[in-house]
Amino acid sequence: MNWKNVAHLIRVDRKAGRLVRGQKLTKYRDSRVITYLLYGGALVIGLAVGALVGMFYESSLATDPNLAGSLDETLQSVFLSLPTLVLIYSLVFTMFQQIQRSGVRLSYQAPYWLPITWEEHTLASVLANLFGFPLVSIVFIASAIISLSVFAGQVFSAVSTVLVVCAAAFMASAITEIFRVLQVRFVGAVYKSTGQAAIWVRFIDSLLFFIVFYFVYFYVVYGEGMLRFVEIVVSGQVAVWFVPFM
Amino acid sequence: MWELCIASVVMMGLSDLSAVELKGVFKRYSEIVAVDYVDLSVKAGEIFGLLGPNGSGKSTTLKMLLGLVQPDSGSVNVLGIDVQKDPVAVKQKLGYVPESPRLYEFLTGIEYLDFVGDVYGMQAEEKRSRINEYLRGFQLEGREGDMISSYSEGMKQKIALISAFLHRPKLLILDEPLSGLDPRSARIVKDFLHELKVQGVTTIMSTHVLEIAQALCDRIGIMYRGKLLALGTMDELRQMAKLPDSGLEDIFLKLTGTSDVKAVVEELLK
Repeated sequence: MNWKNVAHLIRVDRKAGRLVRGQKLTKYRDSRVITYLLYGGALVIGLAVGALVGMFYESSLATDPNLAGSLDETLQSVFLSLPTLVLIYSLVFTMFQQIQRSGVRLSYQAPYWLPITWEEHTLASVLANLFGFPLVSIVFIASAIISLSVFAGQVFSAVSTVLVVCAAAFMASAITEIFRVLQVRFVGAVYKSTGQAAIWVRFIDSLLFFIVFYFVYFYVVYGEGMLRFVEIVVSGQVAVWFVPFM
Repeated sequence: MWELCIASVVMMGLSDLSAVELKGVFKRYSEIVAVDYVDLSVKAGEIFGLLGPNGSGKSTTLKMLLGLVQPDSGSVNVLGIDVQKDPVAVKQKLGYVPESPRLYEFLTGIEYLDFVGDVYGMQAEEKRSRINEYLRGFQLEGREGDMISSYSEGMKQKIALISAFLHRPKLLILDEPLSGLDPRSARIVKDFLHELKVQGVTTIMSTHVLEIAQALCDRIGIMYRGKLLALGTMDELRQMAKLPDSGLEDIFLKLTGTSDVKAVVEELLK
């Protein structure tokens, strides 16, 4: 594995959104300051939020030392739930990115004649999917919980959570990448016989993927499968009654 | 004096070395035989033309040289490396222009060349100066900051050519290299390939423009239905076709058994 190639490919992949956004370039290179500003901002805000919650934690304990047990328990529950949360929204976000890209005719497959292995290309693609919102949120969550854990004395739990959160996000992106590869093959085969209908095929199989994923997820987590899924969709629709779905 | 003799002996020796060696190469796509037990040796420093009608197996043969297609049997050796064993090492040493290059459309021309230079491990200074030289030579200066999606086919071809030349490879594999190029750029590429030949660079090119092959190539191989039908210099091909004063077009049509052009045209005019 040539890690330099992976880094070069990530830089290239991150620019794939330009055509989706219809961006017109005015400079040769993207500004690094602007690129990293978002992550720097997430880090600072995360540290600040963590510190604020930490101070609240300390002041609560100072007021009532009996709260220590329940506060620690709450904190542990939050830490435990974060990886699942990150897995779900990273998956949703990276899948939406793929759906958005699929509407634009562009090549983001590495030129196969260059000295790049498929392993380097796949890893770069998985990591590149994480840039943007998923990585910003991970930076925010990581900095917030580590900052908070200093006040709560749970640094080990927080660091472990950060590692698992990173693994969850990577897993989500890897699932999206596998799905993308399968989709490209399937749509490629369909395209030959159906032409433009392949775009709809891509859209519909993305939706099917989500539905199947949610069935599996709710079955594993709640053991109720379809019923739980339908209940959540219905309750969500009721909550946002003002949106005209149909 | 002795140094001169030794140098000339070394040069003679180099010219006998094979840059590319295919032995008994066979490739089948389900029912279709794409390459039918081809043996081919291309000498170092040679410009070799691979010709043939559509579907004759040229592109499959070229892709085998890069390790992009695995032969069902036989061996492919490029610059002393077994392609099947180490395709990345082979790709590192050669420059390739595919028939229809799919470039990253969302990158600017300069970003794409920068990326290619990085992948080939070029030093920043050297990469920058060569990119600028090539952009100037191919009259792409002023457009290098535009996205490739806004380029014409000819401009994309120029970018593909520059990316193949950039790291100064020892072997160039060019599939229709002059496709879409304006006359000036086509002339630059032809002259450039000649200069590279003097420096010992081997070029294997596939083209349908027979005049270019005749003018540019030291030796020509004609493929037909997966077989290497004829191989040699222009004079040798003339002898094989028994057409002593003819050009490559007549030789090609005779050897590939497709000289019924007149009858086809008459049929179409009916």
